[in-house]
Amino acid sequence: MIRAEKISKSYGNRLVLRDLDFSLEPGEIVALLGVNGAGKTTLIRALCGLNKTDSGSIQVDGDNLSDSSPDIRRKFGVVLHSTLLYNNLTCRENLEFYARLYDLDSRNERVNQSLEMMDLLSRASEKTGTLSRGMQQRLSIARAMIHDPLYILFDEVFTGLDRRFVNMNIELIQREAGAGKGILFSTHDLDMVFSAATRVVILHKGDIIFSQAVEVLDPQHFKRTYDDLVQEPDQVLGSSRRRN
Amino acid sequence: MKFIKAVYAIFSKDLINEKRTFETLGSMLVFALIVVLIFLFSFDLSVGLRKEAASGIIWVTLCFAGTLSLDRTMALERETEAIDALRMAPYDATVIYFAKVLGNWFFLLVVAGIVVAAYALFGNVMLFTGGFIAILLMGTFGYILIGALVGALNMQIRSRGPLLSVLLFPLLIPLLLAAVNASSLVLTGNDPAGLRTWVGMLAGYDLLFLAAGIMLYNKILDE
Repeated sequence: MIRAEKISKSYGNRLVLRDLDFSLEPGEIVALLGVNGAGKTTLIRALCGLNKTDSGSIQVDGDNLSDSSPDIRRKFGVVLHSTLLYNNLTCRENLEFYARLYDLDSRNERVNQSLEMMDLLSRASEKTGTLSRGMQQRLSIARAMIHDPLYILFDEVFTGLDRRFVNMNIELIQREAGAGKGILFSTHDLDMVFSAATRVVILHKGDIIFSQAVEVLDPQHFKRTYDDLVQEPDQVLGSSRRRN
Repeated sequence: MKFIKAVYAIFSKDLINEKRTFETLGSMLVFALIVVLIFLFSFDLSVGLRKEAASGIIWVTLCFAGTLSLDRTMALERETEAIDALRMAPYDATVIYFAKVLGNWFFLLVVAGIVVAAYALFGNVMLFTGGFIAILLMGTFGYILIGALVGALNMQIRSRGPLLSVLLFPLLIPLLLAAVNASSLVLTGNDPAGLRTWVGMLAGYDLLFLAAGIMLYNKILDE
């Protein structure tokens, strides 16, 4: 379980995360919503250790993230808006590189499985830089999952993928969650929330203003009120904001 | 063992990338050969003077050519933010440091070999001596140890080109002084005691820069 307690982060004078509490359990699929600048990317980067927080603590399965050995990072697979791939290497070479970096056994097999999982086997020998944005994003997902991480964090990566691959990724994250992985994805796509997530969390100005299990929400009502919710949370939720 | 494997994985990834693009070695070689040939053909020097001048000309050339490599290899990691994926790997960031040191040192040694060969050929002087090669190895190693550190800093502050040189060259002055003097003495065969002092300084700076790299690289990437 990833548990963040009272984490804060600022860039200069701008407070991006403020005393935020968050948890992600194995088997859970959490959709992270919020307007641009709400702090979604900063939260994702903080949870996996890419960004240091100014205060608070992040525990991963009981171990403090900042004090633990680097091996704890093996538990994370992170897909960010940038692909984190090498454009002059082929799809296969990129995945082989990451498989070697993680010192994985049966590398060829894993690379082939990952390419197949993302329907990229036929493009394996093409340079990554020549692929479309959507294909690069799929390869990036394969990269993040090649070492079979326990927690997979996606930062608005489903943008730019066509419907078929969005559905494919929904199936993929549901399968991974079924196998006990914890999934967190940030998105602006409310349909994606209701087709994939088990819990929805809304960030507003660096704080969580809403956290509910998806099964108790009425999709139509939520979609109607969402814009007001992220723009004027106090008016919609009342002064005592709802949190779980 | 895993640490060495990870260093080698990053190093060989950089080599594959270079094999595809020839961007780093290509620009370094063109620059270095032009500089050496201009120096050689601008002055009508005797063989003896060409030998005495070799040390300064070769180190100036390598010093500037090296910045092209340092800038390019870190730009490669910044292009698609792949540095974040490297930082997420289950190792201390010194893995990235050693891989970058190894890669940049390799590129600089290739250029050094060709530059020295060109100088020897067109200047008609013998430079391939054991002593000179040893000093080239030590000097370029020290240069890259500090260069890889400053290259990472340059990447983090998202600057390219001039700032790398502005930060790097002042730090390199003692190392370059030692390298130039030691090379000059080993080529001319003068002052063995002085040579030992300069070689000692060179070794000292290599160790100092190695320690600084190991201690600071993590912190630079974390910021």
